[in-house]
Amino acid sequence: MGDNKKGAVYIIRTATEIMKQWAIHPFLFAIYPIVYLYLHNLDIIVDLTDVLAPLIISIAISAILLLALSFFINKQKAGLITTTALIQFYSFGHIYSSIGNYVHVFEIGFNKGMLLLFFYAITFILILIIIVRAKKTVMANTFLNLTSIILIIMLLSNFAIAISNIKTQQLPPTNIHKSDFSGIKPDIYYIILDEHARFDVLTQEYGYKSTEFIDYLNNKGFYVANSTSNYAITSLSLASSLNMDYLDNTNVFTTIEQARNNEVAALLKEYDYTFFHFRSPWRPTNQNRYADKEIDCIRVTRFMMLVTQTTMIIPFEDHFHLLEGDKRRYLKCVFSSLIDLADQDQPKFVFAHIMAPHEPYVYGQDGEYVFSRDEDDEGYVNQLIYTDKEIMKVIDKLLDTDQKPIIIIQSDHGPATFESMIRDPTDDLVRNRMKILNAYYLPGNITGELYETITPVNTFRIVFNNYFGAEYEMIEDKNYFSRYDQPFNFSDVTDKLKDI
Amino acid sequence: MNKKIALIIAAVILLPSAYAYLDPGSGSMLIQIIFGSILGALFTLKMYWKKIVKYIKRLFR
Repeated sequence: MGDNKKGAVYIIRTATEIMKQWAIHPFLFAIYPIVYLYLHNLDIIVDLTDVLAPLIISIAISAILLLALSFFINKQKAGLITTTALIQFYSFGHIYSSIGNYVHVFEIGFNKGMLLLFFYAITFILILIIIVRAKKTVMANTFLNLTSIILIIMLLSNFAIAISNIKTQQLPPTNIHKSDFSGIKPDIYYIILDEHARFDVLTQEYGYKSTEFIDYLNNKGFYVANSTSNYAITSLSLASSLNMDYLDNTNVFTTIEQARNNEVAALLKEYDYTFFHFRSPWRPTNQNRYADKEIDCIRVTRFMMLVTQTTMIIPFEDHFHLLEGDKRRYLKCVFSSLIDLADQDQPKFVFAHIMAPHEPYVYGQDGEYVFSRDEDDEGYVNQLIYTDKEIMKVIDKLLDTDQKPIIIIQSDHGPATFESMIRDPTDDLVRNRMKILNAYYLPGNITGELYETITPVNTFRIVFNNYFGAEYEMIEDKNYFSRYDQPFNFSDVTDKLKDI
Repeated sequence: MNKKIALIIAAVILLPSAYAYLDPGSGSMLIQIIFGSILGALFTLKMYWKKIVKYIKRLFR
């Protein structure tokens, strides 16, 4: 008993001494902002690999700065300066994003980036002078050590809760109904154009008539439906269409897993199809371990972009668009890879969720470089026109074969701003969000099976019935709207959509 | 009272998140940092309490 007490006293003393003398806070403050962003967006970025690169870079920069400063001043002071720099670096983007583009001081307008950088530089110099001149820094060091540990403990508890949520979600095995089939197996391309509006919404809301694209599709033999989405959010929409049914769960992790481990791909693999998955910068399609082959056009993940947006890099990124500009390369890569795939061995099922015309807008209508992160109408329409043009090139190539493939060009949902999706929906929002592009190229003149108001939930029921001898019944086309912040709080807007 | 404190702590620790968009969560991060700093300051005060009292007494002597 006495030994235990001595042991406890020894541990407390050692811990106290570490808190006072060691500078562990620079490492914890290097970890905290990254892990915070990860946990805050855990619904979307479950893959830890997204977080590793920025985390390692952050810790490495902190260690290098600490080491470099240690050559000139004592370790505690080096730690305090490093942490000051880290706090400034990681707080900059938060403040930068929350103020307007121009800040007025004595009626003179200043660029917010320049003004904020100036303010930060002055603050840093002042703190630097105070730290260098200070006789004792032990209390400041202790305070930062304790605060950083408390912040990390808060994150760990958050992480533990999130992990326990994930563990409780067990996905049932994919329910496959394979029919006896030994006929021709056409390639199947399922191409999702994120946020592509339906033609009538484009005309009414954006004043743009997509006649050229629709005429092209009709002339090529596509059936262009007057379609609506079953759900208003990407992962819900994809989980539903790829499993040919409405969702029966209310958990985001299960939904994402359903979108990946989906019935359509599983069935097609049973028919000896090779499953190609195009990685997108977006959950839930940023990877798929169930795919036979993954096409990776991603260099800068959305998470990396998010980290950048919260740091001191943001004014420079806003000016030069070095990272966001990577989307141009990504889109080019996706379209050219789709074209290249046409020549690969058959049969194949190709799933490509393409982040266009979704923002950021990086292409004008003729492929010229533009940049806008704002969800503005002009940027949206121009990127949509560009996307349509590229898709037409892809279709030209895919149809330039003897054995014609099945091509489905669909949007997961229509356009809406982030702000509008966290408020109660208006009729305009429901209409714009739920009315989608939905075009089918089904070789062998079976377009008669399709109907004007078909929704994605029935897409592959028709494909399997007509090409693989399956006997799926068409299920009722329903539309469920939900907000981003309440994804499973569905409003049945099926009837409403008929009137608006 | 304890229940109220527990609720406040839970609200700070459990970060809300929007679903489909990546969100910097500036507001909740700020709250968490303020909360962490206050706790850090209280623990620091506890560790140096004797020294602080001694220092203050010396000032008014």
